[in-house]
Amino acid sequence: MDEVALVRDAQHGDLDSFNRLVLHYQELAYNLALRMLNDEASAEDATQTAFISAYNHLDSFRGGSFKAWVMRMVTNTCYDELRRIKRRPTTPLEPVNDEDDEEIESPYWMADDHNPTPEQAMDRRELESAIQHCLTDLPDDFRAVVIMVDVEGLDYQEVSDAIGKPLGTVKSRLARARLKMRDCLQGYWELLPVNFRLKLEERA
Amino acid sequence: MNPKPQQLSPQEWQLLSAYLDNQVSTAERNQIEKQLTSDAAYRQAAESLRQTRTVIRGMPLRRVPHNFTLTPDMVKARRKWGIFPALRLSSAFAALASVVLFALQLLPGMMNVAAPAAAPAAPDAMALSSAEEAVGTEPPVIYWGGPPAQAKGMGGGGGMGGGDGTYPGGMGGGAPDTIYGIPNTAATPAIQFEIPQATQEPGIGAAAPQESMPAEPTPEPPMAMAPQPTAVPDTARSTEEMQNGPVLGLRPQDSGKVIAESQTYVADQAADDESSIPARSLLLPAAIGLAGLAVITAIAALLLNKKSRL
Repeated sequence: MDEVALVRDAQHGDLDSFNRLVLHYQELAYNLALRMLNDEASAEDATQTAFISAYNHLDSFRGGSFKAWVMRMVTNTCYDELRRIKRRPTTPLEPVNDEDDEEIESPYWMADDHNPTPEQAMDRRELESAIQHCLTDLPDDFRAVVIMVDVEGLDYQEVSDAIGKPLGTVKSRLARARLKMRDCLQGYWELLPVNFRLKLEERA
Repeated sequence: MNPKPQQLSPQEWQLLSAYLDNQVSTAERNQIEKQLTSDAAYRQAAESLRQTRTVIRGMPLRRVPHNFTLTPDMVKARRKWGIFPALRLSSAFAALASVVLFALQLLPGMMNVAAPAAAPAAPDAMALSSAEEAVGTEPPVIYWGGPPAQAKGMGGGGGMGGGDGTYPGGMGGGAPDTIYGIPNTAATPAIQFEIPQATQEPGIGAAAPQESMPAEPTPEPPMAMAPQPTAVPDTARSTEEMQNGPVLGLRPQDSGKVIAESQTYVADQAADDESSIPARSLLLPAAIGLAGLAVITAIAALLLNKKSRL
């Protein structure tokens, strides 16, 4: 995929070229929105809004990492949504991450695992829920950085471009976010992978 | 999972975190690895951070529920809502211009109101504005020697000057306030000039002479008084007149001169006002029109914004 050419064509109004870029980055964008907002419907809306906004503001893209630029669009959209939620908080009719809710399936990540046993699938789902809970407790700025680096694998420079902050800020936020995550995950001791538990037990 | 608390500074934690991602310089890496081999607590801290990072990285990426590709309708609809910022901006500009035009229209009126209030500070302006007021009612003629009916109400008031005895007669406050409304502060007179024949000069004012300070011969004392054109005393007045009648007044020629100047000034001002009437008359419709435009564009922007959120 010639990203530069696609971006150039999209800037000239070629929607097909832009859609090829969308297909390439939509998973990163959606997962960032999902982890930031912790709500699938809101994440879908935010992702779609971010891509529409990106298309409408393609003229403002001055080169560099298009991935970071798209992630910046998603991050800003998520910040807007989080501000809106804080202004007008709502209570969901049904709990989304209720551990007792056995009917909720997560086919997306389960499909990635090759033939997991039901117990393994359950453990992974609970662990994911625990990590998401700890992520949600982080400040918005810290959460965005740790998701982009540790969940999505962006490098520091891309994150710096995405949040519009210098590298030092990225390092600082990431370190503090990881420390907070470490403290938070202590409450989910039994959900952690066995090898992780064994290493910690050896040190205790 | 209960690692011992590490006594690391935020900078050390930040360096360790960056080290795990291979985002440190060579010198920093050497320093960190040296400390890892020698310091068990430091090593434990690094390990806890590494494990946390591993757990977070184990979080799976969800598949997208559907493709987020854009359709021409999405883009078209989005561009249609793009006029919302333009409407909002034009509304703000129209409102601002309307306020400015209203202010411009009110400004000259405010200046006219403020002019008489500023008169006491400037003697010339004081005389002119006093005369201007007099044109509307009756001439401010104050007679020497026994005020006739027109001079009613001009007496009284405090003396002006003479507080230090340099001016024997003092200046009675018999004149209208717009003419002689200067405070009785002899120590710091607003205007000082010498009276050519100050000896035997009575106090100026409609009050009875016996209420003023006694007239004593004093050679050319300085005095503080109101503007000259309306206060020039008649030096040829007899002693009897000075003792019996009021001492303040205007000579016919002086009075006519002042009134004539005032009339000229008023006429000039009226001509200026007339010349500005057409320009000013356009301000109000323009301001009202801009205010209406601001309201209309604001309502349109509001409706569009609400519609776009549906």
